[in-house]
Amino acid sequence: MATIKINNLQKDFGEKRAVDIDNYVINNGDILGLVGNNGAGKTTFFRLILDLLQASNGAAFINDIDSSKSEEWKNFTGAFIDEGFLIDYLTPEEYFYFIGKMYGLKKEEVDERLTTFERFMNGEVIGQKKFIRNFSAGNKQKIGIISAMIHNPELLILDEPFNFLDPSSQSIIKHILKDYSQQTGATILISSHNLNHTTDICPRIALLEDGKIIRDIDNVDNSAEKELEAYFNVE
Amino acid sequence: MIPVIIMGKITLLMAISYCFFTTGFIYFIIFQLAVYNNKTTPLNESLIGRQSTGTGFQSLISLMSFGVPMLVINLLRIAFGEIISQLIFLAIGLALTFTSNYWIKNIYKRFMKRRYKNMEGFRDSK
Repeated sequence: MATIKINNLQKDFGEKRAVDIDNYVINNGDILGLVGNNGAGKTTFFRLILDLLQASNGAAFINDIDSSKSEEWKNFTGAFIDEGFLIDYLTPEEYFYFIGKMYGLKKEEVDERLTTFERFMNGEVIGQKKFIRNFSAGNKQKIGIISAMIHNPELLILDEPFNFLDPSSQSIIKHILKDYSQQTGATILISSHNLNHTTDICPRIALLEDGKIIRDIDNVDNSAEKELEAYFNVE
Repeated sequence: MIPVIIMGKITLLMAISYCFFTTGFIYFIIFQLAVYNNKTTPLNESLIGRQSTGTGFQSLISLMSFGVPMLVINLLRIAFGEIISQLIFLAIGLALTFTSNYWIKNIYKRFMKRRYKNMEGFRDSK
């Protein structure tokens, strides 16, 4: 099970402070939605948690492990931030087996795990005999999300998971994430510009502005929707 | 390579020594230099279609990986003759192939030390 503690985390790009979070705790089993306008610092925040970026100050702790000091957290963490996570010159099958192998999964176990994503893949990912680079943006997004979940991670981080997906796939991934949370109790962090999807699946929502978490919203019965719509001035 | 051996154009010893020299020495050089590479190169495009063939450092990696072995083998040939030079090649290749676990771990540690700089470079050059 995974808990994230943020301790005075800051990231500066030149004179601009992209992330500035004093203390923040994401509890075990939370599904946290991260929302904010472009440049609010959502992706930078995820990259800092995942040690893909060096913090200017402070640290992110995953199960009390400083993510920049140890790699133990990688065993139980899955993430998809952008296309850079994919290996373009492999087929999806090769890529899934490669990721599975890194987590000690046999081919049969990977195949079994893939069956849970059959509806999501919609017959357009497996058995296509083409490299990932030749897939559409939507299918690349699907490959990335599946690869992040293939080893049943206790901590799942997805940046803009609904991007590029058709409406049916958006609906399916929402169900997959909800079911995954219920079945495994995993901690899930997602960022999105889509307020409806975020409020649909996230019981807790953090609103980011200029790198700071300005509101930590308890989304009971989608109660956050109005507050978010007011903030983003959606008419 | 097997047809070339059967046709007698290269000896079995030469084939084996070049094989292990590749898995040992050439991979060793490529991986060592790759630690310092922080730019991506577009593998999706064909070699002809690429706007550039990569950075100067990437050219240096190619040169070191493929040019240096040619230089070494020719110098060894001149100094010791064909058979001895191939045996030396084989010895270097075998030594580095069988110690690969150790030097790959060392490369991993050095990669991790430079990870922020390299990842930033990869993101910027995508």
